[in-house]
Amino acid sequence: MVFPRNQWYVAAYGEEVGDGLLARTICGEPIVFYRTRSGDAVALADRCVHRRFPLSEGHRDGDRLVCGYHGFTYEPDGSCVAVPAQKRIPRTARVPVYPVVEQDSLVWVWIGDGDADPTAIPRAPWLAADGWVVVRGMEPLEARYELLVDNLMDLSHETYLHGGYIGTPEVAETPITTSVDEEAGVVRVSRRMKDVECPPFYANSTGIKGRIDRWQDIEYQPPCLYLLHSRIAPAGLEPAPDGDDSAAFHAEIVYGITPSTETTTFDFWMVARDFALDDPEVTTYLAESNRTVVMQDVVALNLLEKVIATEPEGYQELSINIDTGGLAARRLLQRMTDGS
Amino acid sequence: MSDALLRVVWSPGSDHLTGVCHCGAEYRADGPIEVWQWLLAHPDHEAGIEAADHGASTEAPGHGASVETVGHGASIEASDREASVETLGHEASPEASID
Repeated sequence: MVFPRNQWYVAAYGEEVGDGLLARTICGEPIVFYRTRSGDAVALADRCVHRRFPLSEGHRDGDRLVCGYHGFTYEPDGSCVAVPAQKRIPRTARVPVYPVVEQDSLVWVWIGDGDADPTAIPRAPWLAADGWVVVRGMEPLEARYELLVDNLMDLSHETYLHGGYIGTPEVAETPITTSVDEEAGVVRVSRRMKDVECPPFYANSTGIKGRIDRWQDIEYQPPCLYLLHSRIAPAGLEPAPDGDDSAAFHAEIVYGITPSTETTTFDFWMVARDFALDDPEVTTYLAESNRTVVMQDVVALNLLEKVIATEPEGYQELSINIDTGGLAARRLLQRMTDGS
Repeated sequence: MSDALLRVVWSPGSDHLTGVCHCGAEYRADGPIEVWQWLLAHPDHEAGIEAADHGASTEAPGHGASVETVGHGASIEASDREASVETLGHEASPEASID
């Protein structure tokens, strides 16, 4: 199983990790998450050292985890403090602990062996900042994570897969500029649309009636964090010379692209907006509409995974200009995987 | 430009991609595989490529002879390049697929 290792991945939303035991397989590694009484998120290997029983099927005893099979009991640091019917605890009775950091309302877990530097975690500050309202969800994908990366790096598919929501003809027709920062390991794809149709997703949420200028600036920080800086404004409205862009509407579309197994993925999706902050109808509309859009992708990508599973060895894809960013992302991911 | 920034511009109204290396060299390509191959070949770009409709060729900074490729004489075959590009996509190397 090959994934980029020695990397941080989004494992959960902060609110998902609590008193209960949350089981998630990240990059092929089964992990159980919970929160101690002091509020710290904990991640332990979800396999009892004794007979492999998933610890997530056990229960808590205070901050300790008790295996539901034979009662092996573990501290949050992974050390075993009790085994059944004997006092001596084998020296090797310990489960691996995963470094965890909570940042921007996300629970990040380190998959790998190297230095888990928390400053290396990419930021998505809008998710927990004043002046922004967030809707979000997580959809399990029955598809490899690379397919979601491909999908998100080429937004021309919005025109065809998401018509009536976020897709308009101009998305697929507008040229793109792609850049790769080789040192930072970031791929950016920019699509700036002028005087175009406003899709229902933004017309209904912003209240704009006419045509718009629409910016889509992708910033992918592989392997896990994808940002789409979306700017919506009435056609012709440019940011002020001093950079003030408060007259425009902004949505920060965030994805956590987290491989689970070779052919399954956690699709964390988030939409943060800086408009209609006090309007619950807009919140509900964006949550429902965006989930619909995400599910359109889920259906398509699940289908693609099935196609790949049955295709002959050595099948050749065809790439065109719209794939410039996706190819760059693939290369950076491969570099990370090779470096693992 | 950053020492590490590679840029590809899809010119409005054109089917071509223009690759801009951090060294200042530019190249016009017919597709994304080709343009990334050229960019990743730095510093061994085989040529700086000027837009076809400009006529005369120019020499890119720090690079060898310039060659016009778009609609003109010489072209550079991807297979001639030294840079390893097998991770760009399935076209470049089927064995480096995303499986």
